[in-house]
Order: sequence, then C-alpha cells, then structure tokens
Amino acid sequence: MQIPRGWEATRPHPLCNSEEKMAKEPPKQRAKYVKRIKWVFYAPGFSLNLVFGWYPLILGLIVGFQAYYLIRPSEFVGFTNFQDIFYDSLTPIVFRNTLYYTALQIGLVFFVPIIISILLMEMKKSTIRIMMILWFIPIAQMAGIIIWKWFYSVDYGLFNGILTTLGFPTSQWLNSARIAMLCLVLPGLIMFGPGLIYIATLQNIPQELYEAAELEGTSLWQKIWHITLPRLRPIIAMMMLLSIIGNMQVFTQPYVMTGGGPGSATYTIIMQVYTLSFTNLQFGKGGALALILFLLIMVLIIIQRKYFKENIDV
Amino acid sequence: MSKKISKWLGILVIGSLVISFLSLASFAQLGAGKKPPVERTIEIKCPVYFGFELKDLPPYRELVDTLYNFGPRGNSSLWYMGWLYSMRAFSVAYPSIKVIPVNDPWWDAEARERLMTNLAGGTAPAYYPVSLLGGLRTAASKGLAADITELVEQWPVKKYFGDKTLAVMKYKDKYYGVPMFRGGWDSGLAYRKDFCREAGIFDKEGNPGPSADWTVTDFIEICQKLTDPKKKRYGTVIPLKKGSADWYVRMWEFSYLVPFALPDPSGKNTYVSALNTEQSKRLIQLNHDLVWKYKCATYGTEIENWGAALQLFKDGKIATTITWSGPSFLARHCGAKTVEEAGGMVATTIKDGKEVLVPYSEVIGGAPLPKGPQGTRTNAISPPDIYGINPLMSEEQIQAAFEWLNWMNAVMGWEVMMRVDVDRRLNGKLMNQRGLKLPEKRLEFALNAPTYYPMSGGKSWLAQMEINNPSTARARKAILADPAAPLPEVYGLSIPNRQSYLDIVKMAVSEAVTKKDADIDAIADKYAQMANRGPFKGKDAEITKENWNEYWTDFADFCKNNFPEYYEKVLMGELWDKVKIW
Repeated sequence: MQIPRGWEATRPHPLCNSEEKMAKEPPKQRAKYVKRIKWVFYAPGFSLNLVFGWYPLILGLIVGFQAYYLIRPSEFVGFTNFQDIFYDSLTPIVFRNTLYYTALQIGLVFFVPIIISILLMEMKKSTIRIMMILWFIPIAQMAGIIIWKWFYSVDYGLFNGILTTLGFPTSQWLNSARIAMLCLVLPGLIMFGPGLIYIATLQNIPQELYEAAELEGTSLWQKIWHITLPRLRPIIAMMMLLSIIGNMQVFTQPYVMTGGGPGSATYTIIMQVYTLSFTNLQFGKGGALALILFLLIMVLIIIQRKYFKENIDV
Repeated sequence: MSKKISKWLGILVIGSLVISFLSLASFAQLGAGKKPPVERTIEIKCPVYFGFELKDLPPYRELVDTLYNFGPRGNSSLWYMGWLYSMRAFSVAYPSIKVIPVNDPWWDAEARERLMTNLAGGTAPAYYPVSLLGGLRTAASKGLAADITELVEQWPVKKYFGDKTLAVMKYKDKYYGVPMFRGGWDSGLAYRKDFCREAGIFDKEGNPGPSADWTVTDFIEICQKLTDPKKKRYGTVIPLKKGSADWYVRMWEFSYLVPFALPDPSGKNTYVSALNTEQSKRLIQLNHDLVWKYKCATYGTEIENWGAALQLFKDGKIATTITWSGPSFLARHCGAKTVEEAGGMVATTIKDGKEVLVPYSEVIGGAPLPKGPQGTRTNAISPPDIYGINPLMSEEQIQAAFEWLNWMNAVMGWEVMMRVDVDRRLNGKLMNQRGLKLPEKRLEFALNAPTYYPMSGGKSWLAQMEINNPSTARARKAILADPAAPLPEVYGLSIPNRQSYLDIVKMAVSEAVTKKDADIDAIADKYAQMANRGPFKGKDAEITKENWNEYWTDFADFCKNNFPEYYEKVLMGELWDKVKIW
C-alpha cells in the first residue's frame, strides 16, 4: 500500500503501518489473531442464543424428570412423569389430533401457495404484482382466527347464514368432531405468506431453461415437473421442515376457536402441556410431554430429510 | 496495540458471560426466591385493579354518597376509589406498614401466568386469589401459600365464619388462606323478564318469570315457550368452550346432587370420577335433549360461559343462562335505573318495534336453579374465594399482609367505605392483630353489611335486592331456604386438579351435545376413565376410609331427612354400593 504524499515526514498511517506489520508477521500468528478476534463478534449473538435459547431448552428437558415447584426446591423423580403421561388416556388422543392437524396442514395449506405461485408466474408481470399485493397483505393472525370462529357459529355465523340463504342445509362446523379440525386448518388457506418465498425463487430460475424446453416442444406440465419443481425443491424442503415443526406445536387456533372441543376432537399436545403446567401446576408432567413432543418432531424431521432430498441433482 | 485491545476485549466478554451465567444460576428454580430483608417499615405489595393515584381521589363524603346512591354503576372506578380511601386510612392506622399498590387485575386472561412468573421470580404481590393456582389445596400442597394457622387462630373475626368457609381456608388442618369476604357466591339463573312477559310465563305471585320452586320439567317447558326460531332466539344456551367450567357445573352439584367424586374401591387412587354414575348420565342426557329433542337450546364450542353466553343473553338471543353469583350478581348490577348510569350493564330489548338498550333492572330477573328430577335442590351458596399470602415474604411481612386483609375484607376497610368518618375512626381505638378489639356494635353493623360491594344506606343484602331487583330477592330467599348439604372439604375431601377435572366434564357434555345420536353411556364411561387416569390419578395418604365413612354417613342422613326420593332411588339404589368402602 502506498503512503499518501506529504505524509512521509509525518507519523505513519496506522492502517498502513498495521498492514505492513501484518505483512511482516508470520502466517501462524496471523491465524491465531484472527481466531481470537472473531470471538468478539460471535459472542453477543452466541450468548443471547445460549441464554434465551439453549438454557431454557435444557432446563425444560430437565424439568421433565422432576417434580417441579415454582418456589420450593425440585425433586428428581426419574421417569415417573413419563409413566403418568403414558398412562393418561388423553395422551393418545392429543397425539392423534396433532398429527392429524399437521397432515391436514401439509396436505391442504402447504401445497396451495406452491401451486398458486407457479400459476402466477404464467401471468403478466402487472397481474403478478396486483395479485401479490392482494394475497400477501399481512393479516393479524389472532384477529383473523377470532373472526373465523364466529363465521363458524351454528346459529349466528356467516357461513350458515349463506348456506341458509342459498337453500342448503346448515353445517355444524366447529361443533362437528368430524370436520372441526378441518375448520381449524381452513383459515390458513388465506395466509399466503410462504408464496412470497416461492415466487422469489421462481423468478431466479433462468429463462433459458424454459426457452430451451419450448424449443423441444414440452408442455406446460412437463416444464413444471422437470424444471420448476426441481428448482423449488430446496425451498420446499426447508418450508416443509418449518411447517412440520410449527404445526406439531399448534396451540393458538384450537385454543381460541374450540378450546379443544367438541369433546376432545381438537385437543392438541401443546394444549395438554399448557393444562398440565399452568392449570394443574404439574410442571414436571408438562415438561415430560414437551420432551416427548420434541423427540417426535425430531423423528419426523429425520424422515422428512431422508425422503425429501434438497439436492436437485438427486 | 490492536492485539492488546482484542485481548482485553476478549477478557471482558468472557468475564461478562461468566458473571451472567452465575447470576442466572442464582435465579434458577432450584432455590426458593430470595426473602427480602426485614426493615423497620414493612413493605407489602398489594394488587390493585386500577392505576389510580391517591391524589386523584374525590372528597370522601362525595364518594360515599355516590356509592350509596347507585352502587357500582358500570364504572367500577368509584368503588375502587373507596378502596383506595381505605388504603389511606390503613396507612395512618398502621404507620409501620407501607402498602405499595400494584396494578394487577386477577380476572384477566394472563393473570394466572403472570402470578406464576412473579412467584418464580420472587416478585409476586403480598396476596393473591388461590383460584389462580388451582385452588387452595393445590396452592398449599405446592408451597404457594403461607401457613397462617397461628394468625387465624388468634383472629377474633374467625368465629363469624361458617364451617364451609373455614373448611376452604384449610389444607390438612392448617390454615392457608383468608376469605375474600364473609358471604359466598350464590348460583342461580338469569332470565329475561321481557321475554317471559311476552310468552305469558308468570310465577305464582304474577311476576314475569319462573317460580322459585320450579323443577327441571318446568325449566324445559319454559325454555321451549321462550324459543322462537324466527327470531333465532333460544330458551337457553349450553356453552361448550373449555375453561371456566366451575360455575357451569352448578346444576350437577346443587340440583342433581351428582357426587363430587367417589372413593376408588381398588385403593390404588383416592378418588374416581362420578361422571359415569346414573345421575350424572341423566344430566348429560338433559343437556343433549335440550338441543336435539326439545330444540330449545343453542350451543357452540365457540361459546364460553361468561363472555359469549352473557353477551347472547344481553342481546336477546337467549332467554335464560346459568350464572355464578346469580341473584347477588344481578342485584349488584341492577342498581342503575338509566342507561347512562348503567355503563356496560345494559341489555337489548324491543320497544315499539325497535331495538333499544335498557339497564339490567328493567329486563333481567334472577331465579334459583331448578330442582332436580327427584325434587332435589341444596343451598346453592358456595364458599367465598380465598386469598393466599405470599410465602416468600418474611414473617413480619406475612403478618402485615394478614393485617391488611383483615382491615380490608373482614371489618375495618369495609366500615370505612360504608359510612364511618375517617377522622373519628382513626382517633378511636386502632386495631392490630395482637389485640383485635372492635366495639361490638360496629362489628355487628359491619358484619351484617353486604359483601364487599357497597350498597345504599347500609341496608342489608336482601333489603337492597328488594330495591334493585325484587326477583333477585325472591331467588335469594329461596336459595337461603334450601338445606345446605355437607361440604366434602369439611371432611378433608376435595377434588384434586379440580379445574382439569371440570374441563373433562365439559368435554363429556360437549361431545354429547354436538352429536345428535350420541351414546351417553359410552361418552360418560370414556371421560370418566380419562379423569381417573389423568387428574384423579394418585393417592392421598392422609385420606382414609374414615374420611369417606364420615362424609357419606352424614350425606346419607341429610338426603334421608330432606330428599327421601333421592335417598331411596339414587343414593341407596345406585351409589351406596360404590361409596361404602369402609
């Protein structure tokens, strides 16, 4: 690096000086210096993650093996909490409901934004922009859930009002054990947030591929199957992973809309964790159930990672 | 130079990390919260429900006159201003106790979680309703309420509490709580007087509404008459949303006399659910039939007990609703005679073909619960809610909190709010826990006053109901005349994980009501088993066969003397073999 003119007689530029110094330093010492200094930048994020992420997680896992009291010392009880969880006849019900909800979410709500996004890409750019604005306006989730709850009301809801006006028989909606879970999932269809991510990915696919395919005489469906979907695969894999993790921990929709009813048809694992911990003050059992959920989610993720490869060349 | 800087930076970062971890470890759940040091001035934090500053208070006389004339008139701030006056008087009477008000409404949705977080963090207020922690039994067994046996035993006011109240203050023969007020909540039914008038439903005295001695059959008939499909109005509502099931099951307890729980004959656990007893199934069947057979009830998993059901009632969509503190609640909120005074206590009715808002007193009446199928109905006054005192405080603070609760809820604070001139009162004999002496005349006056809500001119509860809403007075008289069944808590028995159990009861009703062809027997068995394997699992070593013997023997005598049909058909015919484990 050249020393600026006029500076020769003055104090050397510190940066130039240190660079010269660094240039004179042996490579090993430089590497050690780099190794030490990078922790200064890692430390804040790492410590926050440790304190607010890992520490509560590990504590929660430990609580599952304890009789936990808010202010008294806890007692180690081994696997007693897990035994009680497995003995409880509500446990298979909540696991079944949660898996059912997740399957419905993946099957109905997860793939719709993908289809919509792919179809959007076939439209004019102005149309795409308008549709994106219309569909991707942020919606306050809780407000939406409460409004949908009353739409579903048997006697005073909008949906049955429309059905009655059109001369159709009314439906039980949230009061039917058969379709209550479906009713919880449907509001998610209007939340097209993930579509933004898919559209961004689709816009990065090289157009030459589609042009080449057109020259080959491929149909729209073949283009989607052989070009679009493989390019979307990494994003779909990631979104599916997040979807599984999020939906297995569903709480807001059933808690607000049905309270777990009718009967126990929409009672989920996290609702039971909440009941055990904050209603019964059985934090140990709540922790044990949360740990079982954690392990189940890990298993599902492993299965998903095994059978849904991100690598587009596989 | 840069190496030195980075070296010191690194030491600083690592050092702060270490200190952070050590600090966190000291706050970890394994230890009890830190007890604050004992000071000459004892500070206690008391939950207040509005952020009023003392300087905002109006002149005392003006406040008392306003409270007397209207009662709480929708804007409850007046009552709480009276509360703050009492706090000021307390601080003069007890100069060594500093009361710090903290805005902490205990009825809002996050109250429970907030309290638990504060307890774990050592920042909880001096006292709190134990209902937020699952009841006194749960709070005491988990060390979340201080043992105040010594203080209660020396408390002269204790003799004025009945056995029921004393029983719910205790856990394993020790006192862990103070009642919120001397009386208790009565359970009843609210009904629309305007709809009853319209449908030609009058009691024996010619007042619109049901008679005080009505039965379940009358209830069904009245609900059917009050149902108008064209107006989408139903006779009653069956709320199915989970949570707040406590008052919902009042008919089980007081009308149908469904047992709170049965003894486990196997001995592995203490309790088993009574959900699949025949009497319980009859009540589940009633709920089902109200919707599908008699077609006089609306229902919904989106409808919760208090909020949505009450709103439907106020909007004129349902004609009756079971409500906690039925008559007394209505009486309190029927003081206003105009919509302006009523605040939020208004209902919708039709006048001259138009929908108008009117105050409660005009269109809402109170009735006792209907009698069960065997003519049964017990005194539907439940013991009062209980305050537990924060066990993390020092002994002096616990005593200070007890003094405060004594002042506010038992006698003193109530007197201040009611009538007594503050200056005169404070110049007289001041009370402290060690030498509680209140002139008998004042004590008698204060204890015959209504509960913690003030009423006009110091009239008795019943007298005030006659003024505000006569139907509630009739209902209250009927409730008071009903015989009081033995309370299990008096015999050391109580439902474990009560809220969780009631949620399961509600699940059973929910499943029965939402299926037209519901199999009631199967539903009852399913949820009984769920209760037995969930909230009822566990053995309480202190409950023996003697506890059960005493309770069921007394209960049998009570039923034999008061409800012979129930005694023969239900107790002896269906239950006795299940309960007689001694």
